[in-house]
Amino acid sequence: MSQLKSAGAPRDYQEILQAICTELAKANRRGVDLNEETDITADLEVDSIAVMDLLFLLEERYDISVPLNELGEVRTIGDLSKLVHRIATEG
Amino acid sequence: MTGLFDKFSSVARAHKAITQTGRDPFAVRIDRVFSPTEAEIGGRRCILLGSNNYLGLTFDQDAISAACEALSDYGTGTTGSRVANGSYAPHQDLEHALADYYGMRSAVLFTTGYQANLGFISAITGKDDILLIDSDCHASIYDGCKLSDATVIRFRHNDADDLARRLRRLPSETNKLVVIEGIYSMLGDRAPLAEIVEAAKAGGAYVLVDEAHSLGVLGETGRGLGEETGLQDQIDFVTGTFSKSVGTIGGFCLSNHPELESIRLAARSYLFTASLPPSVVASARVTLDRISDPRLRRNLWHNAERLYHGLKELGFEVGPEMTPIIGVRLTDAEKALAVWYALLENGVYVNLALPPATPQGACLLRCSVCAAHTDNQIDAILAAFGKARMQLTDETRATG
Repeated sequence: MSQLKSAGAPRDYQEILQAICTELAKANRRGVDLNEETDITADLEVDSIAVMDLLFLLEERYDISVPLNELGEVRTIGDLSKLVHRIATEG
Repeated sequence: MTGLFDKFSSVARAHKAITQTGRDPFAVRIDRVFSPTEAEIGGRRCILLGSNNYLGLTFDQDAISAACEALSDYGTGTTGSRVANGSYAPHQDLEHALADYYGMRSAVLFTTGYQANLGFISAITGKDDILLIDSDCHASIYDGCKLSDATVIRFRHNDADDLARRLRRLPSETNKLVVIEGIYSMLGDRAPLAEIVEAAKAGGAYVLVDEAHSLGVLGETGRGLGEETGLQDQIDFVTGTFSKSVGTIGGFCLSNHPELESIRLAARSYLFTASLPPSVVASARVTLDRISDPRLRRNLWHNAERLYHGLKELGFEVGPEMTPIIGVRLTDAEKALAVWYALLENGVYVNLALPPATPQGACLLRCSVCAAHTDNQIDAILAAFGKARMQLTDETRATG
């Protein structure tokens, strides 16, 4: 899946992590601490639609496509940040 | 360690919250069916407004006779896959009729529309290929993608520019398949086919259109969005179902590509499932001939127009386009449930559709109009929606 390279500039991991936390904060009704270890669905009770909407935002921001096949392993904010960072910096 | 069934706890909680009033909108029992538009539910005669029975052909007398005859001639089932147990003559005859109707080279029948998407999409794409699907695509398309070894990319719903951007990032030498639907099943909006085809062709991608909800509904002879837009020849693959306008069950895939026949030996949902019972095939053969009748579509669109505009006049928020699928949007699940109950109490049965099964997290009362609905039935449906709205307003006032 390295063929899905970003057309944009390589991105800083911390910037991506911060962007994801900022977006998830909008859905953080229970006031859960948002960090790399936070489980997106279990801790935040964010449904699959909200995760998909978040992905669209990230894809547009970093000019990438995140394959659905790669989301199976994503549980935490850290997992998602690493995935987006890898795709955004590949190539 | 978590228990095997723990994964269902959030679904069970949500279901319990919905059913605490004593009724389960997802387990409605229908005791008798009087016609394509009326049935008995909970001892009450109800108008069916969520059946997907767009042309009202489920009680076509010729189709019923043909099905009965096939039952006598061929028995109740085929008891196996066509690859193992052989094809019955009616299977092959229906495939030829379907291909002729679409003016395409060949057709492959599946046992359901779900299995058509599942089997075709997963078989046609391999690990070096890329699938690009509209985000509002049906679960059968998502599941076909999941079963495929291809890379799967979603693009924003009905956004050809987003599709084009994503295609531009992909290498030209890779096989790409864009998957869209003629009419989307929840909000009833069409795909912008011309723009999607333009983006796909510029990106060197094949195009698959699932005409499940547009077969019988769009186009002069009912072939769907490809016919309506005059772009049938730009579509590489058509999938669809007999469980809506055709009034029975079964799925299919059509193409002009001569290699389509290979699917029979590659699609697991074709290979490893029992084929359609001959009685079902016989009724589909009859109703397939019926759906090109323009009078059915005239009635269907007349009813859709009256209901769509009537609901808007009552103050309901409806889908973006006027089609026979009318998604009535409520602000939250509680209100959607209250209106759903009120409609049933007033003799109208619609589909309740809640997130995550809906686009954009919408809480919907999904209505599907039928060509066989009478003007009086449409009036009764609008009256029931009016009453439900008043009831909802009263309750909102009472609770502050």
